[in-house]
Amino acid sequence: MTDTPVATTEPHHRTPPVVATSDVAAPAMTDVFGKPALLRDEDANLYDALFSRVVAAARPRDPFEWMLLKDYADLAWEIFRLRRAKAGFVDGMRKNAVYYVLEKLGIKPSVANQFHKDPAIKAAILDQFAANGLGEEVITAEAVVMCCSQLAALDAMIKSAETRRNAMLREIDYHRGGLATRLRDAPDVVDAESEDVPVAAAAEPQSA
Amino acid sequence: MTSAKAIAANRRNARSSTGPRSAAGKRKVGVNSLRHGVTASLPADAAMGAEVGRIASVLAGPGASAARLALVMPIAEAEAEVLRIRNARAAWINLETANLPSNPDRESDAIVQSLKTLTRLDRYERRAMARRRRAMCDLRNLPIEQ
Repeated sequence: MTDTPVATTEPHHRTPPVVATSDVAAPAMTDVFGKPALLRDEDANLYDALFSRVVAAARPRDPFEWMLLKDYADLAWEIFRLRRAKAGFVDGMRKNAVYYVLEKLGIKPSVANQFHKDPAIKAAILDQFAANGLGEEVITAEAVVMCCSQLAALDAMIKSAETRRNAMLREIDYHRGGLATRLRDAPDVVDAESEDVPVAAAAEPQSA
Repeated sequence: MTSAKAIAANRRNARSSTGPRSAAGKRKVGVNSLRHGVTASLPADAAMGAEVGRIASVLAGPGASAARLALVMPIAEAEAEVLRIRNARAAWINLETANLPSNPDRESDAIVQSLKTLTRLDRYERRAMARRRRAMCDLRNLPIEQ
């Protein structure tokens, strides 16, 4: 997931557009768990679409299954969030990285802050890189090295969330044999990137 | 072995350090060990107690007996705790984001700046989920109520 979801002005507390038949009424169940815990710039439509796909794949039969699937969706969302944070942090660090790369090459680093603004200066700096046998990718490399401890911490949190998400599949298996198998067979749910979700279609049934 | 003199001194000293005596003083020291409340017992919080009751009644199903309701209560408590931790995480990141200058990467910066807090919340969430898993396991191992 690379793009920051577009924020909406709609309230977050809405019933997801559940597309699967279920023995338990969706609105009642989603009310129980309250509004999803989203960040200010996260799109509630994308979360609802993700939860809908989880529900559609698993077709929950009782409130316990709804609870486990809500957890599954929340953990998947958390993983998206942390991956996005990793990408965003490295991207932000690239501005500082230009400065340090120039300094290491003995080039006046004061032009570094113009690298992302002025195409002429960018071209001149890239020429200097080329003269030293380097490409633009050295900036990303420097950025990653500069923030590798934070990236390691984020990776640990992603791993923790993935472990819990996978443990949720086992718990679902215990609760009802076969349900987790259907989720595993739905790769768009297990490893989906939420920007793939058609936002407009997901928002249609929200006429509360 | 402690001498009689030392015992007498200990008793004398203890009489002068038995904590606050007024109601206000007792209230104040009662929260001495409270840092953030995330791990507080849910029934101790009236609002969360109501939330737990609501989740328990849905999990138990309509017309559930008091016995079944009691069985699902630990699951509901753990679930409410999980939801509370997730809300706390989002609120914390939102607060950190609001304190940063506006730029496209500020949410990422806020998350990275909050890594220590987020790691602690992560640990609490894992514990709450483990409690819920054990409670569900206990419920499954009981004879089905007719």
